[in-house]
Amino acid sequence: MVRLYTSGKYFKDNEIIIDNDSFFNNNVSAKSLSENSIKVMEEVDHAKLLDQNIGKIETPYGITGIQDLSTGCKTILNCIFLQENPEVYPTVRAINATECGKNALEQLFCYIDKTNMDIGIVLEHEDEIYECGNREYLINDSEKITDLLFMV
Amino acid sequence: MRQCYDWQSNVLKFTDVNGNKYNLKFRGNKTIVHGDSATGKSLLCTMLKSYINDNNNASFKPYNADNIFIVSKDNKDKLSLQKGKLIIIDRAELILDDQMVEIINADRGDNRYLIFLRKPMGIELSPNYFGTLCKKDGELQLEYECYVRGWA
Amino acid sequence: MLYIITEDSNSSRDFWQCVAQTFRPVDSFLLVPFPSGSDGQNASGNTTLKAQVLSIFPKLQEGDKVFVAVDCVANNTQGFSAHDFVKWGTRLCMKKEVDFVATSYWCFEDLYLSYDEVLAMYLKNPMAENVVIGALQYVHDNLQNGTDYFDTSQEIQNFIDLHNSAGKNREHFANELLMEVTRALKGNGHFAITKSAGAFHKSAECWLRDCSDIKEKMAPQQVINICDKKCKYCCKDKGTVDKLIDLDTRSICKDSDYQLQQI
Repeated sequence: MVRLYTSGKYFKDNEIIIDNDSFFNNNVSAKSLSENSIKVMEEVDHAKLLDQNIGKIETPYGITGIQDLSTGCKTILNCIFLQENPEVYPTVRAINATECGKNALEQLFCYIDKTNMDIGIVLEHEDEIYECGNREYLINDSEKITDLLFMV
Repeated sequence: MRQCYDWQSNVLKFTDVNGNKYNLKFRGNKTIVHGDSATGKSLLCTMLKSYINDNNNASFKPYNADNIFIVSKDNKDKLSLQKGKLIIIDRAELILDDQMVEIINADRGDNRYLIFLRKPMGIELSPNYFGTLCKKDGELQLEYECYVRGWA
Repeated sequence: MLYIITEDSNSSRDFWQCVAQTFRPVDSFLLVPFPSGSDGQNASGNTTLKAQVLSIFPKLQEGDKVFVAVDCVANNTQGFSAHDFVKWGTRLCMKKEVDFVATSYWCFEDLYLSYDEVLAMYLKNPMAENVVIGALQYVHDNLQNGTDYFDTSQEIQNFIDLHNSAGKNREHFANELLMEVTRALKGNGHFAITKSAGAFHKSAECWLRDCSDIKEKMAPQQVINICDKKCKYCCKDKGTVDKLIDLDTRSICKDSDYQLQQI
């Protein structure tokens, strides 16, 4: 089940990652990227990891480093990092996915479903989110739906 | 030296060092770009920044970006001082505040705006001026999503 | 079946109800009721639009039309994006092969600001101010041309110099201008358009209601002094149908994807 929140007000400051770009750049190293993360990079950014030691990637726009991944991709990689390293930031209960496009959101929801990750997703936009697949969603701890087309 | 942004034609056009071509034809004075992750939004800003933030002699740059102002957390207080610029705001969810939104809404054409934003934050703009970035004919272009005459 | 959804019970709701009553059989449309808020009262505002559409969704059948009167299509405030709402509504209604239509004006005020008759009547008004004439002419012409009027032109700036809050954004500008213009026409009859609920039954009734119905509740001397002597409206002494057709053919309605008569 994916727990969605339409506002960050449900969480305290130390419980939510708001700036995913910054969190990723400060915490996630290329060496720590797991198979899951590498797959996400390929799916969302079409980025191929060329050198895991230095984080060199090949994207449709050229060769660069993992710091240039999209914020949507970084959001998912942050989630993976949190799940693989729960002791690092034990207070975190939610992640702000407002900077994710629908393609990144779908990958994020798939990951949460697949791993049964217990994390709240704050989403303050509705930009084509109904294109995300049907699954169990709990909205603001109150409304259960399976299709985001019917989210009020 | 060529301008990246031509005020007369309202077109942002340049080729970056990796050979990626950008050709964004704007419809009006304000544009909100949203859509999928990893479509090149932040990449465009990063490339333009390199033409602006440079200690070198101006003649060593392939493009003149003097009429572009890229807003960040560090320079957003200078927004109200701009005139005759294409103002670009990437990751606007994290940068825009009420005062900035007021300035943008009251600007009737002194500046033009390209805002990368998914969350509704009070920018007064009709659906005619919402678009996405897409690759077409080997270029990164702006694709508008709808046109209704009365929404101009 | 036509389902009409509005943001709240202001003048736009009265207007669209009148249009539907005029051009459709009485049992072929429904004004969707507002949802209840947490306090038990009717909730309103653009954040209720989605809930209103979802409330009628179970009833929708192929061939129905959902018509949403968005007060201002450029509103992108906390919790609501007109752009996302229109895309979402279209997508939702596609599931049942139902048309989803949103009003094709930037804001409701644009409808009357583009109306040739508003300009004509104001020009004939002896109290007309040059600054307001300039702004109204400029706005009217741009709307008729399908171009944005909220720009750096002198006509717009002159009006903002007189009405400071008009410079806040385009919707504020349109509202201030329309109120200023139609308020000046009140000596000619009931033409003052405001946002308040019931405006088209009171201060602005002459734009929509049958003249015969309006005159019935006026004192005979008032009918002579106002209607006979002062009213300059081209649809003077006419009924709602004629008034709406005139608006339909001499405002931005004529260039929209659907006209008032096609509702």
